[in-house]
Amino acid sequence: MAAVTARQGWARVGGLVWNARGAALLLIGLLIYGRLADPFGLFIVASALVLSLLALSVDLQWGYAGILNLGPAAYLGLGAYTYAITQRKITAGSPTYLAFALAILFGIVLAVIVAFPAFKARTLPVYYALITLAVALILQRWTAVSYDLTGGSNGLVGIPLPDFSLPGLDLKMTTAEQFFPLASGVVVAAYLACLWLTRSRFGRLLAAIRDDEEKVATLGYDVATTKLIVAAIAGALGALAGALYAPLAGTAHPSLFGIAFSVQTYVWVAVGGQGTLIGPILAAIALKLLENRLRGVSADGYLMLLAAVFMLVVIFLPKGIAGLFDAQAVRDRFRRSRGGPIALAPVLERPLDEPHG
Amino acid sequence: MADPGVVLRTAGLSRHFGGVRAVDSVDLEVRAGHIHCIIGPNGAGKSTLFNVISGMIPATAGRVVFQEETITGKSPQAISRLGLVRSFQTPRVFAAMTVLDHVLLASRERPENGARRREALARVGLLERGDMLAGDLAHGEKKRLELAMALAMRPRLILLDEPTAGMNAHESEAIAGIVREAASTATVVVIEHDIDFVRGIADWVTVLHKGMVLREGTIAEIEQDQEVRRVYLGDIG
Amino acid sequence: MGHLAMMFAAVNTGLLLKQLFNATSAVSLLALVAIGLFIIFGMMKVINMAHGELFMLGAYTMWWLLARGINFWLNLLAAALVVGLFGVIVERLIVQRLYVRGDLSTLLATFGLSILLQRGVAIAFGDRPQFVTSPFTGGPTLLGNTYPTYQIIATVLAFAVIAAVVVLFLKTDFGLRARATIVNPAMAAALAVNTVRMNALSFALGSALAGFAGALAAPLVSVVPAMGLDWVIRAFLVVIVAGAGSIWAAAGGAAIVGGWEAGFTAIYDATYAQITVLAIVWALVLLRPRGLFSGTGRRWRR
Ligand SMILES: Nc1ncnc2c1ncn2[C@@H]1O[C@H](COP(=O)(O)OP(=O)(O)OP(=O)(O)O)[C@@H](O)[C@H]1O
Ligand SMILES: [Mg+2]
Repeated sequence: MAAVTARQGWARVGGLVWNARGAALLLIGLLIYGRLADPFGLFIVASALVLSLLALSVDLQWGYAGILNLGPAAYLGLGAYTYAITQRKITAGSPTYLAFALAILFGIVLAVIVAFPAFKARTLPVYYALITLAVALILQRWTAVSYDLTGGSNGLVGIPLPDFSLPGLDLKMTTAEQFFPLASGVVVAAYLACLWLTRSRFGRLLAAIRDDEEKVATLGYDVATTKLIVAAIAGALGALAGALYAPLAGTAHPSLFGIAFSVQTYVWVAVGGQGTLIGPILAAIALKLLENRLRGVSADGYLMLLAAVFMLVVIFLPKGIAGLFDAQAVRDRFRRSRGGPIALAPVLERPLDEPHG
Repeated sequence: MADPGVVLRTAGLSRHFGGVRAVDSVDLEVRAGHIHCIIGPNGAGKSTLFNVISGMIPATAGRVVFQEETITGKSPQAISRLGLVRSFQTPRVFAAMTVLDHVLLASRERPENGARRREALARVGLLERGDMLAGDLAHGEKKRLELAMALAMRPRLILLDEPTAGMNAHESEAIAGIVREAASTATVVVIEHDIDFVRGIADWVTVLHKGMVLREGTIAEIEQDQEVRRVYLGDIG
Repeated sequence: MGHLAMMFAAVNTGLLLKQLFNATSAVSLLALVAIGLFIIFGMMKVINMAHGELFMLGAYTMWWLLARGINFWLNLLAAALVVGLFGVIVERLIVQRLYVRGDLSTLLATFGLSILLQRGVAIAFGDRPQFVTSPFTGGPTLLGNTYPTYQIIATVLAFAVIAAVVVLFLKTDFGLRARATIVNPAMAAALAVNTVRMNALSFALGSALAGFAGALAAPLVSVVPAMGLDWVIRAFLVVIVAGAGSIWAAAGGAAIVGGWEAGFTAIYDATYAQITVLAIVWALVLLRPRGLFSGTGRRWRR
């Protein structure tokens, strides 16, 4: 019987390797694209990649832990302003490591503060969704009026590209094209990290919590802390997205906290398929390129379109467009509708499964 | 002061829902190593009693002492970590997780060394089902999976809420064997309606009625009791 | 010197009174919105993120009809009716479909709906504020401050409607069933309460209250497409702070959230007022996770 576990273990490793290979393919594809594309196309895809980190943060929460953060843009803005302010006012001209570190730290701190009462005090489940939405809104307003620190409603401009120089090693970015490989690398690394996390025992615990958290508690697990950890990881990812977005765009603006970014993120996750990790990233790239095609449409029109698509996906395709191609998901839909990794994880983990017995 | 043979004790334990006194001042003593059965008509408050003991709903009054430690007000996970685990009347399994993963979750073992979870699965006869999704199991198998999860946690005290509900006589017999075996390493409290099953396993029986303890004793004493008969017949008639 | 101090005291009392009045007025409107939300949330456990947009639609209904020369007071009723009807449609098309899934779908779908409505109105009428003139100008003056007649009437009207809803809940058959459903849905179903009909009714009522509140508030606030967001957040904060136990709780929560925000805005600044409200809610949730007014056994006392 020991063979069963060993083979199971190998199946899991196999799944991860396959996905690592998929990730490598994605990375190579991106890098080739980076060589071929025009600067504007590069900018579009780079911003899609950076913002897909935010989508990963939403997917971890919604798709895996079943918690809804309706203001993911709060972390985008927080990361962007942290980077911008640190670079402009504290470490101007020196390497950007501190800016990234601070952004991630603040992301985690904000996430834990916001989420603490939601999960530790076991209040109404709507609290987390609502307080995250409110925090994003308030941060947007606050940055718009705090001229001294944030430049107010004009935002901050002229934010320098990152500089990863070490003593004796010049790694200062000077052109926007150099940013593209960085964005690709970070996203692929983040994707692999999330993949590893969700395939680990922790991921299994999340799937169980999403299904029946009361039962999980009777198994002796601390559900609240688990969710808090997910929120903190998501906060770090979101703030990292912001810290990369500010130098890419060259500006930090209160609208980074805005609902448009949050809704866009949710659309990517919903369309790409919650609980799939790769789906939201691909959806981010595809929809960002599409958005670029729809230049003629007004910003309001585009947002309205996103909202409509989002509603339709939530109502009719709980597993996203990707779910259409997933046989298990389709079978599940006929049986009992439940989204995400609960149904998906076992499928992904069992490509090499041995027959019963 | 406290009797060392008593693993679980409740004192004046009550739980009211509005005007409904689901559990009403219950004093219970469960002795170490016993299989202690709790019987009573529908709505007697048996499941509510388990819910309060396991920390899933707060008590209105009274307290619960487990191994000399007062656990009233503790969280379900804290109580579970002390070694008091439970199963549910309607099985609660994670539909899209494999059977093996369930016991893995319960046993907290690393995936590589699966001794504990295989043992637990073997004890309930689900070893061949290891790779099936729990959602695809038959009802009786789900109940056995819940039992396996409880066993995999190596508990000191197991609360089983109607482990044979919806099973045929043959399956019930198998469950009785499992419960008896579990009692060799832990104390077991079982809620049951099936009196044949209770007769086969019980060291001690408590009859609950309208949230209160009506009678306590050996199964022979309980079966002789006029009051108990009246309650059950009244319930049926 | 003594003369000056007396004048100072008089000015302060006047200002205080005026601010108290403003706060009361804000609380009355918030309570109206929150009670609508509470009915939907309490009865169906449905989290309607588009509730703020129902409020917004009420305000726009008022503005649109008023611009076509229709009587202000009629418009109040029309807004309640139109938005209530809209609520029924939303319930039929979206909520009912997702209700059975019992997960986060309703929250997400209504979140999408809120953006859809907000941007739809922005496309139709633009993002600039629309002005709704109140049927009264001026008002009585007290201790040097003017109290606009319309604001007084709107406040009284809001409280009157709240009272009517309370009576509806305490004295009618609908109310009895609704209370049963809120306290114990399973029990209510067992008592043969027609839950499908109850859900539709409560959604309609909750929506109508939001629409009415929006129309009533229209002359007092700036009518813009995004106005609903603030209100839905406030209203949910009320429910979170107070607990989803009773209508009284919703009113009490509105007094805390709305009162604090109005007061702090008056003495300092609106943005910081909202920040402090969030901080207070954060702390209260830690202290009383189930809400301030949800002490066991004190729910739904007649
Ligand atoms: N969450 C609840 N809210 C309100 N009433 C409840 C709740 N849970 C249980 N009750 C009531 O408490 C009483 C006892 O219920 P309980 O489920 O404990 O009975 P039981 O003895 O387990 O019955 P059965 O044999 O049918 O499982 C019943 O009247 C039930 O309606
Ligand atoms: Mg029971």
